[in-house]
Amino acid sequence: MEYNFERDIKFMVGDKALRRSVKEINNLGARRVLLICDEMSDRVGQLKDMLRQFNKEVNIVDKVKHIGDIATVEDCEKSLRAYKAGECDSIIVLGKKSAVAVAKAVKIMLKDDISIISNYRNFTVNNISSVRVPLIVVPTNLSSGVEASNFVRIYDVEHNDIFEFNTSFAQTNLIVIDPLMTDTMPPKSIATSGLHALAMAVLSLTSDSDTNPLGEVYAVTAIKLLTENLKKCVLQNKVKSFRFRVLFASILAGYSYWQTPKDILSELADRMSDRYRANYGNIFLILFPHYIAMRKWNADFDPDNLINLLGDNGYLVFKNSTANRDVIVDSVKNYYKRLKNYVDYVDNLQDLGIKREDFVDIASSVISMHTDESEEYKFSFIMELLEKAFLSFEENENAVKEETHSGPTIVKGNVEEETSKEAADGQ
Amino acid sequence: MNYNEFSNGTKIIDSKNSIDEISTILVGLNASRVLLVGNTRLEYHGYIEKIKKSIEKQPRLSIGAVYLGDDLTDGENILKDLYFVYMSNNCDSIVVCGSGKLIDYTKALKLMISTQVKDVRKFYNSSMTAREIIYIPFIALPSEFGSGNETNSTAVIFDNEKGLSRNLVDGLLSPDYCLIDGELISYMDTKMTAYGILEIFARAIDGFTVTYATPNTIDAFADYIELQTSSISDGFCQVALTGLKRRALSLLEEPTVDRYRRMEIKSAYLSKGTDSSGQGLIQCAAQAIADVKGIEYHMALPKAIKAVFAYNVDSCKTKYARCLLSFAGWQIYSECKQEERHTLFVKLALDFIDLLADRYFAHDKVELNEEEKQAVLNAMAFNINVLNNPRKFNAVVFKTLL
Repeated sequence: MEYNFERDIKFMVGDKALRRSVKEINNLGARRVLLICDEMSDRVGQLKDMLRQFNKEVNIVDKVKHIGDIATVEDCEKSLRAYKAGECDSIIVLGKKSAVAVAKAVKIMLKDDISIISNYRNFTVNNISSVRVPLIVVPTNLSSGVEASNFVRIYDVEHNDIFEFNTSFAQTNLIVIDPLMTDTMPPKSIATSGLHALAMAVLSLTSDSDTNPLGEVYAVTAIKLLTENLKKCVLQNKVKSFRFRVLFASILAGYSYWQTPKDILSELADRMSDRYRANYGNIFLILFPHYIAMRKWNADFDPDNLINLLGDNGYLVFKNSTANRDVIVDSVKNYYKRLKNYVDYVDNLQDLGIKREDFVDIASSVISMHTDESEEYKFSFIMELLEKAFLSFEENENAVKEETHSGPTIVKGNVEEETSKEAADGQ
Repeated sequence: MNYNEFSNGTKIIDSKNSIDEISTILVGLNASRVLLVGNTRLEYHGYIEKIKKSIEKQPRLSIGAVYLGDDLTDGENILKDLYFVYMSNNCDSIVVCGSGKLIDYTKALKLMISTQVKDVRKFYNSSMTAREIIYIPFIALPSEFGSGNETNSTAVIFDNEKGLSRNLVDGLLSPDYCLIDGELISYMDTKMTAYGILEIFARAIDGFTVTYATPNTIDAFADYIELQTSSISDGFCQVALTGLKRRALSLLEEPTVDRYRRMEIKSAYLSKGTDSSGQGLIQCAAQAIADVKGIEYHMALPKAIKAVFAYNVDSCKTKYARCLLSFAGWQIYSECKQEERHTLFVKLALDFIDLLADRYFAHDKVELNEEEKQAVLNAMAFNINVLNNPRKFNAVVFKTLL
C-alpha cells in the first residue's frame, strides 16, 4: 500500500469557484506558488482570467508557460528548477493534460528528492513519503479527465522513451472547476470530449477490479450529466452552462476511470496517439463501443445504476435478451448512433489517418509489455478490435448484415450436424 | 451552475488488515503519543489489545492512555474526562474505535484540543472562532455501520442544560483516516444491523431532498423552498439507495463479514459525499423524538421517516420519483405512470421499513402523546436544519403526522 499522508481531493465547482478557492489555497499552506500553464490557455487569455480572479491574493512566485501538446522530460526538469529557484511550496496548474502531467511529475520528483527524471529508469517511486506539496488544478475545456488521476505520462523526446507513473504521490489536492474557464469549442470537439468521458465512466463501472465507491459515484454522476447535457451542448455550444457540465463530467469520469488499473484501451490509444500524433480521446472513444461488446465481463459490479441512468434518458434498448451486459452494450451503441445524427464526429480509425498495415506492429508492441494471460491481451482479440474500429458504424453494420445474409450455410451446417447426431443417437 | 463543494478530506482505507496500517499512518502524520479511545465490548473481543499492539510495533509511537467509554454516557461529562486524560498524558494524536456516538465524542475532543477550548459548550454558539489551530492526527475505526460519523464533519452532543442534542459542524471534526475492518463490524447484532440499514436509508433520502436554505434566503410568504441539491450529492445518495433493499435482506438473512464490510462502505462514502449538505428533515425529526423520549436516535427513525414522507410527498414529487428509480430499479420505474412514481416510492419505502420493523425491532415502536408531540416540535424548531427542507416547516401540520 502507498501512503502520501495527504488529505483527499477536494472539489470546488460552479460560479465564482476560482474566486472562492483563494481561501482554500491559503488553507492548504500555499504561500509561494509555482504556476504551470499550457501554451493554448495562455494564448486564449484563460491565464489572465484566472489571475484576475485571484486578485493578487495568491502569491505566484514564478510561471512556467508554453507547455506543448505533450509533457516532456525537459518541461518537467525546467519546472522543477523553477520551483527550487523560487523556493516555492506549492503548485497551481492551469490547462490541459500535458501541463497537469508536468506538475504531477514535479511533485513526484520533489517527494523522492530526485532532480533528473531519467533516474527513474533504475529506481521506482518510493512508497512512503510525508513531504507535502499542495497541488491545485484548474481544468479548462481542453481537459481530459486526467486532472483527478494519479497517472502521469512523460515523453523523453531525445531518447524516444516514455516514463509512466501511477502513484498516489501525484495526487491533486484541490480541483477548481469554474465556468469562466470553458471557452467555446466546435461541436465536433465537444462530441469527442463528451464521448471520451462517457467511455471512461462506463468502463470504470464495468471494470474487472473492485471499483472504488467514490469512483462509482463520480462515474454515475458523469453519465447522468453527459446523457442530459452532451447533445444540448453539441447543438448549442455557445451556452456556457452546458459546456461547464460536460467539462465537470469529464473530470468526474476521469477520476473514476483512473482509479482502476490501466486497460488495453488506454494502452492502444496511447500507442496510436504517439505514433500518428492523433487525439488520444478520439481513439479511445472509437475503440470503446467495440471493446465493450467484445469483452467478457467477469466484474462483480452492480449494473443497476448504469441501466437506471441509460434507461431514464431514453437510450435503453430492450431486446429478447435480458442480460445486463447486452442491455448496456446496446444502449451505448444506440447513444453513439443517435449523437451521430447531430454531429459528424469521427467514429473510425481510418479517418484519423491510422493505417491498417500497422495493426500487427501496434498489437505486438502492446502485448510485449504484458505477461498476463487475460483474454484482452491476446493478439487475436486486439486485431479484431482494431479491425472493427477501422470501419465506421455504418460499415460495421453492413458487414454484420452481409454475414447474416450469408448465414444459411452456417445454420445448415449446424442443422446437419445435429441431424446426424440425432441419427447416431437413434441407432 | 450553482456553486458547491464536495468530498471532504477524510481518507477511507478498506483493506483486509486495516488495523495493521495504523502505525504507518500515525508515523506519516507525525504522531508520537496516542490516546486510544474504545469501549468495553471491543476490549472483550480483543480489539483494543490488537490496536495497541499495532501502534506499539513502531518504536516512534507509544500509547499515552487508553480510555474505555460507554455509548450511553452523558456526552458533556465524557468530554471533560477525555480532555483531562488527553492533556495529563501528553498525547498528541487520537485513535478511536467504536460506535457512532463514541466517534462523535472523540471528534468533539479533537475540536476542543485543536482550538484550545476546554468546554464543549462554547461550540454550541456557532460564532465561536479559534485564535490558532493545532493539528491533531486523528484516525477512526467504526465498529458499527449506519451513522456515517467516521467520515463526516459533524458531531452530535447532548446539551444537558437545554435537554436537546446539539449539532457541531466544523471542518476540523472530520477524521484524517477512516479504517474499515469488516470483521470488527460483523460483531453487530441483527437488530443493530437492521437499524444501521435504516440509518443509511434515512441519510440517502435526506441527501436527495435537503436544500441549502438559510433564514436569510427564505421567503416568509412562500410555502415551498426551491430545491437546489448538487448533482454530486444526488449521485452519492443514488448509489447508496441502489440495491440497498436486496443487499440489506441478504445481509440480515445470511450475514457474512464481506457483506458487513460492503454495507459499511456504502455508509462511509454516503456520509463523506453528502457531508457539506447538512442534516435533512428526517434526521432532524428523529433527533428531536429521541431527545424527548430519551431513546436512541435510531429507534426514532421509523416514526420520523413516516412523518416526513407524509409531510413531503407533494413537495418532493420529482425527487421521490428519482428515489424510486434508484430504490426499485428502472423496470418498475418505467412501468409506473409518471404522476404516480413519487407515491409508489413512498409505498415501497414504507413496506421496506415495516418489513424490517416486523422482523427485527417489533418491540421498539415509539408512540408520542400530545405533550411529547409538542416537545418534539419545539426541539425541531430549535434546530436550524429544519429549514433545509423544500416544504417550509409548518408545526401544526407536522404535529398531526407524528
